[in-house]
Amino acid sequence: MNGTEFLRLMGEIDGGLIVNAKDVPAPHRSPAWRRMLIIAAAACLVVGALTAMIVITMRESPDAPPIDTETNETTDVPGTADTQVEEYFDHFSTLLIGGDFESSCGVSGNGEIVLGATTTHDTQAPREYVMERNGEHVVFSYVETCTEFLYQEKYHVYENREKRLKIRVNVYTEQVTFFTSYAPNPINPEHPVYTEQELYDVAYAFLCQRVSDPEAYQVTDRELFDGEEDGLSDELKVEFSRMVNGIATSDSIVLYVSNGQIGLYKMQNFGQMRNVTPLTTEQMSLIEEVVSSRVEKVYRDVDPKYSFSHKDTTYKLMRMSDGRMAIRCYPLIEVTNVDTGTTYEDALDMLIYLN
Amino acid sequence: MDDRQIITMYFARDEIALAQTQQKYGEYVMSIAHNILDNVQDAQECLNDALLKLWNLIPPENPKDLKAYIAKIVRNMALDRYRDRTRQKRGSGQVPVALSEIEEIFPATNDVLSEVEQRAFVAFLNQFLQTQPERERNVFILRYFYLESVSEIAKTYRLKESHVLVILSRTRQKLKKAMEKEGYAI
Repeated sequence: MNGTEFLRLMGEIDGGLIVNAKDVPAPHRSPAWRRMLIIAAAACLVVGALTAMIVITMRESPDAPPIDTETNETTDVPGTADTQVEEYFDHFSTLLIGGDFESSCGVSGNGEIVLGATTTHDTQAPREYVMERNGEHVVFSYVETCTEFLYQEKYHVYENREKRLKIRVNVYTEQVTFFTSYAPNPINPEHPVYTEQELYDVAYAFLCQRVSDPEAYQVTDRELFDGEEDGLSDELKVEFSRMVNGIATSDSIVLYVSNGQIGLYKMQNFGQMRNVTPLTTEQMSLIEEVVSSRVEKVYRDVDPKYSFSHKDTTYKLMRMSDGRMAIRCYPLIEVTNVDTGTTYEDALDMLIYLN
Repeated sequence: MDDRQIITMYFARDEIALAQTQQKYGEYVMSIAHNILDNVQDAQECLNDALLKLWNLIPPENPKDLKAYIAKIVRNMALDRYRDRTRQKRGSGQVPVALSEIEEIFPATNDVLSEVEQRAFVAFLNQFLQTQPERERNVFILRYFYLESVSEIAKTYRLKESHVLVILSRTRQKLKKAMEKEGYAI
């Protein structure tokens, strides 16, 4: 028997098994689930205060003039740039805005509400969300729409840190994601609720700026927090280089940490994992120290009213497009709003370059 | 309309049965065909062919589970179509990827099981799958029956893709061991 025949015979298995396989129960919360949450949230790099996610279909974009994201005033866009923006809208099929701690929601260009774009939040937030639409508060049920996007790891990032505005372009799905503190938090009354149009205007204005001043928003393969001092010792870098050079033929290398076991694995042939070289406990401690210090920096820089405790981190070793190696870390944090005592989980996405 | 009523309509040669089947299971069937063929038009044709085949098979066939029955029909049709299409070139979709995974435990061989052996193997496969943990079993079936991509399965189960790959790899290895234990030549 060969693989082809096996696949054919799989077609003859019991009908009950076939039907049941499609009836997938909701996953339970567990350490593995938490680990998954980290990955799901990795695309939702949260730096600022509570924000939300909005999805706007770019093809159906309104003609509203853009606004300046700092002053909130309407600005004119030169005709050429405007044309380019339209082309940009035509090129990318979907625009996403947001990413937050507690909830996520979105509005497509045709007015359809899209919620639950970051799967982390159903652990803390209710299954229903409220958002203002056309002057009315509307309750929406949780749906998943953007998970596929969140699992994609290839995207380009444009960032304007001063304006707390970040845009990612997924080069595969051609989706554009905005992360912005202008977005609403529908379940936190401390934060204002913005209208669809206001959110849309922010995105539109950003695109105008991007087209008008492309050098200000260079496409990079980098992600948030990169380019900073990584804090790793030269010795450890040498050690990583040795390990990486010994096995690295692609970017499919996983630094695997589970149940106290630490190892460097290479993904082969769709899932065969091979333990190549274990890291020492000291090496891992050093990496975790770096991660922890960065997490602290992120939260302290953003808003001192949030305290945090580090719960868990997964790591992935990857080769960047410029040939450098980096450890991508997904720390899972328990965040507490000092003022209200509210606690929830958040996940960050960090990159530590090794060479 | 429940499946029993639809099947009764097939027996009565009522063409509304086709429309009801398409309405109830069209999307489900399309997704199976599309996983294999990676082409909407081909998947649509497959759906049409499957409905026609269903019309010709019922009666005399009287399936206990219409959903599973049509799933098997469309899967086989899509695989046949896939083989026709890719006789001269390697195709796209999930079939070549799934095959490469499976070939990890099934070496390329031209040995063909007899009809009796095939039935025995399917019975063995059913038993093996039933003894697996529910999630592992479903992931395996989604991958090798429905030929869903790893990313789709990961999304369904809210797992990392690498986690799904590990589940699949472990289940394949367990299958391999079980087959060796049962005396299947690998």
